[in-house]
Amino acid sequence: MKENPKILSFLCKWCSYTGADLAGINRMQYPTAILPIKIMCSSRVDPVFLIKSYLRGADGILVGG
Amino acid sequence: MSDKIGIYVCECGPNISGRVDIDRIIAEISNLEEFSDKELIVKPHKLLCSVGGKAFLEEEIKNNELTHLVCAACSPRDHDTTFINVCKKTQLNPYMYTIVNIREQCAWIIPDKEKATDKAIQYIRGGIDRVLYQEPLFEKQLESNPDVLIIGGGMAGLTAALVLAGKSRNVYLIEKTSILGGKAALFSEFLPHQSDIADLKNKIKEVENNQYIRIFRNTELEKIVGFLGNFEIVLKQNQTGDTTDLLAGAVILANGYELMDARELDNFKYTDADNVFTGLEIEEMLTSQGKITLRSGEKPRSAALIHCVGRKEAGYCSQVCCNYLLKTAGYLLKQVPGIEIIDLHQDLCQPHTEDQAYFESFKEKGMQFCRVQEVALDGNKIEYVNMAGEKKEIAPDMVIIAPAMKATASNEALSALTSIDLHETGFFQEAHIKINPVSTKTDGIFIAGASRGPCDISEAMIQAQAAGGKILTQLIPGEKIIPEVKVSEILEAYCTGCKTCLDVCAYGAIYFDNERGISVVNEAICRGCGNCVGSCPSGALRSRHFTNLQLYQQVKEALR
Repeated sequence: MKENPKILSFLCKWCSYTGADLAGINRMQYPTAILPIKIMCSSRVDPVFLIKSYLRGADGILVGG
Repeated sequence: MSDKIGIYVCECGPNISGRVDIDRIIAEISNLEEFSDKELIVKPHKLLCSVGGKAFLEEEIKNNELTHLVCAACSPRDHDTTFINVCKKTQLNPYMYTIVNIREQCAWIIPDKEKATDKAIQYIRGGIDRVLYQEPLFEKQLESNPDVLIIGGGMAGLTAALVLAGKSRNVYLIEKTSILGGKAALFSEFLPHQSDIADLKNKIKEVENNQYIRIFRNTELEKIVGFLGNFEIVLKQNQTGDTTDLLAGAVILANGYELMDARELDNFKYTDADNVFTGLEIEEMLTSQGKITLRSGEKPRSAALIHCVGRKEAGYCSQVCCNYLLKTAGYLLKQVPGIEIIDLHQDLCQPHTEDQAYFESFKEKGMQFCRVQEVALDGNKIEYVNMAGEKKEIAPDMVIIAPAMKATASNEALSALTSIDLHETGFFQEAHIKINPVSTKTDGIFIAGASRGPCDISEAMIQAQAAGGKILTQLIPGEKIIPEVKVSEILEAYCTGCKTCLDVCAYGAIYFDNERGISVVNEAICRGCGNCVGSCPSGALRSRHFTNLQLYQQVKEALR
């Protein structure tokens, strides 16, 4: 596995973004590899986003919703 | 005008400053090469959300004539609105600002200060890149109509009508039948430990005499279009076919329930000639003839009560049957002293504080309670298997059954008209069972009573009062409605008219303009989820404040 992978995460503002906040509030730890981007709903994620992100060097993509 | 970007890093007391290196953030952000053609103002602050912090921010925006603002602080859930409100006091359009979450999703999750600082810098760069691509948006103000349409004249509808009329709201109460009171109008008594049937009669009288409530009997909803504060409604009188046009600002769906027909079940066989009655039929009998008799007119000497009929098939407990079957047993014990009654249940549901004592009182009266695994009915012959696995047969004079409460066919019709979703059981789907239990996904449309799931009268009334209260606080006479501005828009030139967006929109916010052959977004209904944007094959849809370009900037910085 790469030493510093980049995991792009598209997080729905209602649920998974809030979940990520909750992880912070509870002082949980997760790898700095997770790169969150807030969206209004996971359905907003256009498949083209994923392709473009991989082309730009993302190692993994998490769509949370 | 050249871009002047203000970047303010909140220390949040020790919350952020204790875990990231604020000085390094300020130094690195101030000297970013890619923004060298822009004017960056980068400053830390102890606590941006404090009174002093807000005043500081306001002064900074005004004095520096900022064109863009980035607040690196906590989660937008905490203080996005705070900073938007600061922007509103200045010349800066609030949509030219963005918040970067360096607390919950950075400082608090990374123990290593260096790494956390790197990540905070990365987030802030993403924020600056994004804000440069943001565009000003302007809120619209719409007039609103404070009147309310209530569908269903049962306990929930009557209660909500009185709550609203109590605050001088005009209420249009429509009832499919000619009678007010719903199923409860058939009752001869309410549960004795809860309330008196006279309460219902008084309530109906109060509604009929209230100057703010207009009642439409034998009337159904024909058409409804609009949004919170502005619903255009057409009602249709069932008998004459006459229609009435109305305007209302909110709607309560309180169209009640019906009972499952037990004869649809494999193990319940009986005809109208058998002495098998539902709880409601017993109530009707009592109301019409004043006493409970067999079909022959004789008094029953023995009776069996069967609970949970169709519970397995329906997939849920109807919550009210245990209590009302006990009420029926009460009628029998009063009318026929010495009658033998057996109560066959799979589970007993006694949700209210006084229910347990009510149940115990029947044990004292000599009623026999038997928990069963299975029960089958053929005429008045009952076969059941008790918890010990023993098969028993009895043939009492009278059998009273409690079939499951189910959604009425009108739920489906109303769902089609209002685009409120139905739960898989056929009842209306609430916005959130705990957080928003009487609201729906559509602002301005509320649900109360048994149309949103089995409930007893007291709970239906609680829900109706909740829905009434929600309307009184959300729809205030004279107050304008400000619809969400972060919504989808259609670039007409790109739209090919494929209608994909119409299928995916969960809010019914998109309609098709047949003349122009394109889809049109109703901005007052759109909630900005962007489902249509993600699925538009021709790229004709655009999500305001979440445009592809804005998101790509964040992606670019995240993957740098």
